[in-house]
Amino acid sequence: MEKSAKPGYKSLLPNIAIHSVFLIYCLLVILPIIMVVIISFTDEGFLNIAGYRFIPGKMNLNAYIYIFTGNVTVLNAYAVTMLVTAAGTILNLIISSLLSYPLSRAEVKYRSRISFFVMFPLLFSGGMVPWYILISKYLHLSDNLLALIVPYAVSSVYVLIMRNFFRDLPDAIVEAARIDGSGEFNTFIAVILPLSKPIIATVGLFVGIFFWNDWYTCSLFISENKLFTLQYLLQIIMNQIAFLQGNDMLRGTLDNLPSESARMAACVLTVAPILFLYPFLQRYIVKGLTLGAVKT
Amino acid sequence: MYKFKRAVALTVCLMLALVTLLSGCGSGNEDQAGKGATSVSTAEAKTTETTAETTASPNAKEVALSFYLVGTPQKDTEDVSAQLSKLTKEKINATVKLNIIDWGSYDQKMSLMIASENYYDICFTSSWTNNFAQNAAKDAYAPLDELLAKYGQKTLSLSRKEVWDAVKINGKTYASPIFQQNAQGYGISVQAPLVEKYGLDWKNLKGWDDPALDAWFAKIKQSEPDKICFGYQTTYDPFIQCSVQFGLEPISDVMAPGAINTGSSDIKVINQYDTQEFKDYVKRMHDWYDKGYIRKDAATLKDQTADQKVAKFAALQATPDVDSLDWSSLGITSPGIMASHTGGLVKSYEKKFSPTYLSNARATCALLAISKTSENPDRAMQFIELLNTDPKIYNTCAFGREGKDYTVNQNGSIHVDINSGYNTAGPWLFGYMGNAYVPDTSTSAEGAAIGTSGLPKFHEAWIKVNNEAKTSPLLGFVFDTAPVKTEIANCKTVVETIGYSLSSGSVDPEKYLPQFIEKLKTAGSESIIAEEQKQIDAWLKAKK
Repeated sequence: MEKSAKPGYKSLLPNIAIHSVFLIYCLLVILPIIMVVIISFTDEGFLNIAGYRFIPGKMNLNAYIYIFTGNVTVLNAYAVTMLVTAAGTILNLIISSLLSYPLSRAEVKYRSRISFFVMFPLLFSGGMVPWYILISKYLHLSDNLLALIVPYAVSSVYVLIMRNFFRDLPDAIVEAARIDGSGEFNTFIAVILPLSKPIIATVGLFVGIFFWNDWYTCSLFISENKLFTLQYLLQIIMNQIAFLQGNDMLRGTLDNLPSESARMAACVLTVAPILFLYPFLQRYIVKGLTLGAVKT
Repeated sequence: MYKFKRAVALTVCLMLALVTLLSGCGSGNEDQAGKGATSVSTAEAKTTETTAETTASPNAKEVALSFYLVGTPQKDTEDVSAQLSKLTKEKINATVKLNIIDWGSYDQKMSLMIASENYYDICFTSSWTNNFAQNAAKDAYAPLDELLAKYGQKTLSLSRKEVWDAVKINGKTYASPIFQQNAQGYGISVQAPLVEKYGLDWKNLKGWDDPALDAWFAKIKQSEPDKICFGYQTTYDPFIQCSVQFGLEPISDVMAPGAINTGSSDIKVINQYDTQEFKDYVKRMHDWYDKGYIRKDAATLKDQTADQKVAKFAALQATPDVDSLDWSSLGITSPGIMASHTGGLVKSYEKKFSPTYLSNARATCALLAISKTSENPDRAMQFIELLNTDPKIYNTCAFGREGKDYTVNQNGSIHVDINSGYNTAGPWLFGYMGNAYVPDTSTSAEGAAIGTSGLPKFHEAWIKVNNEAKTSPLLGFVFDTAPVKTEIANCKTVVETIGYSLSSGSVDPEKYLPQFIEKLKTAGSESIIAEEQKQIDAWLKAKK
């Protein structure tokens, strides 16, 4: 009974130990981010002389002013990235769920064969050049926003994850709906989807983050500045600095570059939205991850 | 078994369907683009024939040229392209679209474009990005000999014969070199205020071993604790990156072993790290390191821009083609600038220790090629000729729109607006740099050089140096790295781990130099050298 009367008294020491370990871990994770934020607000000249400091000697907004008014079109890139992320995630969720639900139903006739077509590209793919040829020469998607969305409209991995989730839903629910006169499509929309919020949120978040972080596709297919994504712009800034420093032919043009603080500012600008989105989706993710395990 | 058979049948059916679908798409596309499909191209040939008959001018039909180059994508590229097209339409009845691809993506983007035979007309190609030799060997570029003879007389006369030889693959010219500061001298750059304060007779410095330099460093070390005497950086390593100043020209990768002696007439490949030159060099660097002239963490430091911006370095490795002495003999004040931080300009003096030299890598460091897929190679060649001869067209490409992106100063230099929508990294990307405007001091080190003497004299100076520089006996030789790829990668790892520590003076050469050479041998330095010698011998034989 002592246990319930003084909860945690006996476990005080272990508690302190465990908590401090996690506190230290949290600090290790959070401090670099805080550092990046602080650097982005520090005066460039001060950075050059004193290096990185947690307590900035001289603060200003120059880096952000540079990024927003300079040669690079950050605001536009923000819009593009948001549009691509939203459209891409929704499209991906629609296609993935519509594909994976039938695959999870036993009554679908050729489901194992269709599954094979879903699985196959996981192991073998055509490679880079054919992919490039397909998108640029046959689909004519160069310099088109669709080039950023269509190639990732569906992903085998997420289809399989979703299929496994749908499979775990009790068959009886679908049967009950059927007996009540619900059509297959209606069952999916009205019964299955509401039950699948955790997996939709989890996959949605992964896909969303993928679209948000994708710079590579943009570098291959987009050469019009208006259509650059935020990550690609950041990549350009970083690459340019790295490239110019390694190339003696270009010395002397270094002054034109956005430098350290601007790099960090760009970093803050890219991470911030995702960072703010996480807390809202987190509860679904935890549920989505544990749900399958607990049920069986 | 039955099930399996059905599955196979289904797969085959689906594949066939897919193939038909794709090929259907393909021919449709080719029709659209007007190439490949025979019916269309013959039809087109007929129309060009008839127009040729009626107007007798090859430029009668307006065409659009697409031009791919490396750089930082600019906001107003489209508008600049429009301005440029106005000028080119007048001259050659063609519009030009500039496509500036980011430094980091250019190489891959172009290799994909080439592999997929995408359409473009002109591209920037070189030894360091969008590899010229490989692409030319892959037949990605159109041979230019006839086009040059027909439309590029002036272009042909700009570069010296040795450079034209360097862009020949199997006897055919596949690119047009951009005439710019190709040749390099190697020497030192010293910070002017420190030179005046602690007295250094920089004009008479003989080399890196000069005792006067050591004495000057000692004084700075003693009285300026904030300063670093020698700004060593791995990306600008005095031996590994600049071995030409020690009379050794690397053959493939600068880091990999295998170099020729630039002084001797017979071409013999040696390991540049196993030479007296390297031994003396690392000894001196270690001595400097012990005396505290070099940062303690120099070997691992990748980025020293911050130090450089606040002018912490008293001296740096420099590669001037025209040094401060040459400038002053022309009556031009020193153009050197060590740092142009917000705190103000810090001037420097540059002194060459070795005469200017045109290495194989530098000869092909900026070229323009015409794509094999181009439908209008004639017009593309005419545009290249314009880039080399027409200052207005050339400077529009390089600097953008007058009044918007730059303004012309009284002495003929220009003031570039850094925040404008078009500000490329350099005029060396486009064409004959003798026609280039020179930006003034606020954006570029070269601006100060003009002084009041004007542009022509400034250009004259470096053009002369470039045309008179000693040339590498290897010009035009391309080393095929395929047979020794692993060895090169292994050796580079060794150089990265021990080489830079030695080269920056951080470790004792007595102990580590023999170890370094031994490790290179285990990594395969000898087979690289043998392979290089073999290929060079074959190349020399074919040349004769």
